Amino acid sequence: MLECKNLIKKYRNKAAVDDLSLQLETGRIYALLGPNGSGKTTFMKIAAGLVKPTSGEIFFEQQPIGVFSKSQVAYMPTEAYFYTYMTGKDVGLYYQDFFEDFSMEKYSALLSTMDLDPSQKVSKMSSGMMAKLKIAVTLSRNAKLIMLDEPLNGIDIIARDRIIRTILDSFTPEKTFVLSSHLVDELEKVIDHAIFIKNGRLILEGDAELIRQEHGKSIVDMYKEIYAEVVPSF
Amino acid sequence: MLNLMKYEFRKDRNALLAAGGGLLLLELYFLYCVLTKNENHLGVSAVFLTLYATVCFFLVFALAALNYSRELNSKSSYLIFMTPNTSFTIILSKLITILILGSVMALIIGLLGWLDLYLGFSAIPDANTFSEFIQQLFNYIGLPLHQLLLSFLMELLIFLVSFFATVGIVYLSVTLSVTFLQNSKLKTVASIVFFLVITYVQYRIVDILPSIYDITDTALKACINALPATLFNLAVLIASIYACARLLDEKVSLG
Repeated sequence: MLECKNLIKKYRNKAAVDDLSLQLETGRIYALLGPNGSGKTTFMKIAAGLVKPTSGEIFFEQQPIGVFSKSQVAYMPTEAYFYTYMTGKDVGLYYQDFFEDFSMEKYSALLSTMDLDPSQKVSKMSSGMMAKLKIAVTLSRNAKLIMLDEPLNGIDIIARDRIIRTILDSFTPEKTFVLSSHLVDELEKVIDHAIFIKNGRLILEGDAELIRQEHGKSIVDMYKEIYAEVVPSF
Repeated sequence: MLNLMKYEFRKDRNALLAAGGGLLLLELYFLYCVLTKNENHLGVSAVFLTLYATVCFFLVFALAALNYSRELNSKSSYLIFMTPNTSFTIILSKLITILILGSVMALIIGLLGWLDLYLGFSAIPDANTFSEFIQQLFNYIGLPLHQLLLSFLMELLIFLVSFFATVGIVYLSVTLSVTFLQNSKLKTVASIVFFLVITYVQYRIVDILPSIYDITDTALKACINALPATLFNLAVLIASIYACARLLDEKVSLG
C-alpha cells in the first residue's frame, strides 16, 4: 500500500529521516515508535504530502504522493491546524467539502461519543478537546490509510481507553492504520506491527507478536531497551 | 476550485467587513454633510472618503499577500494542502478570489463615487449640475463617448493585468522564501527582497519593450501601445503561478 525507499529528509544539515525504507500493507495496525525527534512525524508528513523528501522515493498504491494519495490517506497531525474562526461543525463541513470519503453522520456520532459540542469554537477548546476533535474528524473519513500522530497526546488517562476503542472500532481489514505514540504501553495491546525509528533511521520492524517471541520481551520493554539512555552509576 | 474559493472568501470575511464598516461610516458622514448642506465638512468628508476608498481597494492586495504568507508559515496550511487538490488549483483559487474581491470592491467604490459626485454637486448651490459637469468633462477630454468608454475599458484591463502580475510576484516571492529559507526567521525579509528584485527586473524589461506608435494622439493608439507591456505582464502572471505550483509540489515543506 505505502512504500518508501531510501527516504531522506534533511533540515539544513540534520537528517530528520535518514535512508528510511519501509513497506506498509493493507489490513494492519502499525505502531510507529520512537522518542521526540526520531523522525516519526516527518515520515508521516511526507506520506501525507505536506513535507517533501530531500531524496528517495515514496509511493502510495504505486503512485507518487499527490492528489490521488491525498484522497485516500487521512493524516492527523499533532498540532492544532484548523482555522481559528471554525467551530466543531465547521471542521466537519470543511472535510465534507473536500473529502468524498467523509461521513458527516459518523463525525456527529464521534463528537457525541467524545462529549464535544459542535458549536464550540476550536480556538476556545482545551488541548484535550482539540485532540478528540482531530481524532473524530480524521476517523470520520473512510480512507484506506489512516495515520494518527500522537493520538493520545493531551487525552487524560480515563479517556484514553475510550479513544483507543474508538480507533479500533474504525478499523476494517481494507484499511491500514499507522499510530505514533510515546505511550507505548497504551498501544501495545492494539497493534499488530511495530516500527522502531531512532534518529530518522529504521532500527527494528516486524510483526509485534514475532518481535515478542524472538526477543522474549514485550514491545514496551523493547522500546525501553532501544531508546533508554545509559544512566551513569554513582 | 469553488470550494477552495469559498474558504478563501471566508478567511477574508472579517477584514473585509471591518473595511466595509469604515467605508459605510465615512459614507454616512458624507451624506450627513450633503443633507445638512454643511459645506465646511463636505470637503473634509469627501477627501477622507476618497482616501479611505483607495486604501480599501489596496487592502484586497494586502490581504492576498498576508494570507498567503501566513498560510505557508502556519499549521493551518495543512488543512488546505492535505486536500486532494493540485497546488496549481490552490494558487489559482486564491488569485481568482482576489480578482473577484478586487472587482467587487472597485465596483462598489465606483458606484459610491458616482453617487457621491451626483449628491455633492446638488449640495453646492453655486455649482453646475452633475450632468453639466460630466458634459464639460467630456468636452475637455475631447473624445466621443464610445471612444471614452473603450479607452476606459482598455485601461481597466491593462490595470487588472498589471495588478495581478504584481499579486503573482508576491505569491512567488513568498513561495521562494519558504522554499529556500525554511525554518528561518528571515523569511519575511527574504520575501520582500525577492519581491523588490523581481519587480525591478519586471519594470526594467517593460521599459525596454518597443513602442508601436511614436505619437499616441488617440485612445486606441495609447491602448495598442500598452499592448506589449500588458502581454509581458500576462506572461509574468502565468509564469509566477506556474513557478509557485511547481515549488509547492516539489520543494516546499510545510510547517
